[in-house]
Amino acid sequence: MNKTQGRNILIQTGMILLLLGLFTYFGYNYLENISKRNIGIGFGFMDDTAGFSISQTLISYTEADTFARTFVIGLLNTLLASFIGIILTTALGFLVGLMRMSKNKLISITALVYVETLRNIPPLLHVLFWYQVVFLNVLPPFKESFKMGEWLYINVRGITIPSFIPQQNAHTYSLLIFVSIIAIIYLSLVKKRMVLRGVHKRLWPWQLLFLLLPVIAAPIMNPYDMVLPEITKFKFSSGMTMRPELFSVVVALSTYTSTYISEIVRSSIMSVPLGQLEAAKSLGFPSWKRLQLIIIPQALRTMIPPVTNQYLNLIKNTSLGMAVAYPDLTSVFAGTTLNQTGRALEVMSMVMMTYLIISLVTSLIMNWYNKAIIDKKGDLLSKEDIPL
Amino acid sequence: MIKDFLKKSLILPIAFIVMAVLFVSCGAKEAPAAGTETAAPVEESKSTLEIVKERGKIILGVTAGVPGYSAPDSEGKWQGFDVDLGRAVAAAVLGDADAIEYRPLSAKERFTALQSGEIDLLSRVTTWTATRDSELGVNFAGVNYYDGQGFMVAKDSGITSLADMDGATIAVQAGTTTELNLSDYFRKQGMELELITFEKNDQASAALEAGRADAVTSDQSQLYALRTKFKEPDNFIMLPEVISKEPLGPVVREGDDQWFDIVGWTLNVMLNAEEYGVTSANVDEMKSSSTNPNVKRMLGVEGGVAEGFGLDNDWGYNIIKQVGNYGESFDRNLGAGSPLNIERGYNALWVDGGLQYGMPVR
Repeated sequence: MNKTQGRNILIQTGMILLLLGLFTYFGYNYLENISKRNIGIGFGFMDDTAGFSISQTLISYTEADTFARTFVIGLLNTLLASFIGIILTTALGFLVGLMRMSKNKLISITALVYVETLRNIPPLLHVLFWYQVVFLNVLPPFKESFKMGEWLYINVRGITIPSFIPQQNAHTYSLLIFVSIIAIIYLSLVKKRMVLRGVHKRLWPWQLLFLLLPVIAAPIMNPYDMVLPEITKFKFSSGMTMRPELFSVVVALSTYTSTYISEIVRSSIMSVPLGQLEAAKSLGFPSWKRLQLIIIPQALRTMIPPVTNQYLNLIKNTSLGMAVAYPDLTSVFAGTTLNQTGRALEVMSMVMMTYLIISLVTSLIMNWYNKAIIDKKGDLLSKEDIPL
Repeated sequence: MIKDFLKKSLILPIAFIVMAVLFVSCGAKEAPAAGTETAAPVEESKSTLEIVKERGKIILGVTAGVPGYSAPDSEGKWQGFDVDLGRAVAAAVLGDADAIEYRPLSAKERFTALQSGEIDLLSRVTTWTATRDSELGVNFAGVNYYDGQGFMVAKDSGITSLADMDGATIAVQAGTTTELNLSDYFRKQGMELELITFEKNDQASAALEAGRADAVTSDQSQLYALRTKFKEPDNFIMLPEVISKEPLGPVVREGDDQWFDIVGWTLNVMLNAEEYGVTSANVDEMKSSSTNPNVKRMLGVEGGVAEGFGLDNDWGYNIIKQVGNYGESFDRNLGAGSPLNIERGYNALWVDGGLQYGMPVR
């Protein structure tokens, strides 16, 4: 151990002691204050009856359920908005990023304007815009819905489409779809292997068959019954409705975050050496093949870490849904539950821990994906093959 | 190379030592000083009264803007029924009704603000309930307004009573007793309900105005106030049913009986003043000429009631002179003299058949 190492250990120990001291001081202070003011402490309240209703619940919930259940409801709503948001923002971000690279001035300038306008507006305003302006002020009232046939209704209460009710064959049909997907993936892996070994054999007719199988089977097996939306006095008695609160949060956050993703996509593509493109050109790849096979795989490596950050931002920003009554974790648990129980420290620490865990898991998955992509080069070229 | 290394290895420890020294010195010198100012009630030695007197003003928690109860007027001066109660306490304690610093608080923030000592008094349409009294470390000092939870709907919706509302979407403010009462009521009646929970009452009423919700529910008093903000207030009506008791009143921190007494008795003085016909206009005359011993004690002409509270003898006089009696405050902010035009109803004095009853000042 040299001098610097010793010094570093000293510094770090000092820092840890300092932090521990701080925590002890605050903890002691807190306990002393709450006991003086007759405020209880502990998580016992989680088993008490919640007593309030929540507008959007993914699993069953009644007012007679416990605060523990409200936590789960809020968490699921946060995850739902994050999930839809991440998918939308990725698709949009890629599209706009590629549009900005286009040689067509109209397309690239449209993309530029999209990015520069949207990313310079705070996300809260995006959310409020979609809710207060679009839903509450532009869309027609409930009874005068905008209609497309009997299929689609759009009004101030949300967007309603037909729902599908599973019939007897539903399980068998799901199994069929699952098998088809597995078969298609398996066939493409086989194809890859064959290409590497220099064998050429047509497999796509088989893939097409598995793709068509569920489509052909659907009318024969009739696994789902489609139920058209039907208006009753206060709501649609059937059909599926996406509520304006969820819609506003998801659309606002995905358009906002997609501007950052598109910039990441653009700069990652630009970071791929020009020689790669030129080499691809000289080998006679058509332009979309150049992008698909040469450019994007290389760009992905630089893309993933910053994109992960944007995903985390999106997840954390779903808490802005509170401003438009979206019942997410922050609103339901850190909002209503906190207020009904008065347990600020317990509730807030739970919510903070939960966001932390969601973020860590997301990074973990993204890092795993990143590693998987980087490792791919090992298939073709291992270290031993490099003549050094 | 070696230079760089030395630099790098030295910067950290130096920064660390500087930080540590700063921290320790701050902790040693400033923490107790800061403690007396912000987290003062934690210190047993000082009562809220002493702190308020030393500071020269009361820090009052109010709503961020419910017309009639507490809202800033066009000149930015806070006005309203709940503000008046705070002003009366300031008049009683400091002799100056204007010695107030206002803290607008949302429903969610109010108890934490009071618990943590950020405010001295919460005068902000807050319902007195058992849980709040027992678990939140707060005390309700009285009831300045008897309210009940009502419903507002669009006139053309065809809804005329609660029975018409099975399956309706109702907007409500987050973290209120309203939310619980509503769920309880629908559960009891076996009716379906979709509840959308907003941060603020304004947002909830905006959802009704836009047609996102079929009804908005809150304490009736607040619904009247919210309706005045609508573009076309006449298109909205109140349903006849009232589904809860909502006794609203001033709240103080638990553990300071003296301060609790002062706030409660300030309200009693305002109620008694109305009962005995003492108003801000005639209080000077009453002080010199009244023969009613109750009035004499209240205005500090006779007896030593004030000493028991740790206040000056003219506290009652100051309240009525500067703020007025209960009836004056009600008329000015909520009643006939205001845009809300709410009936006295339960809030009439007991002698007029209402529930408001000022404890005797003797």
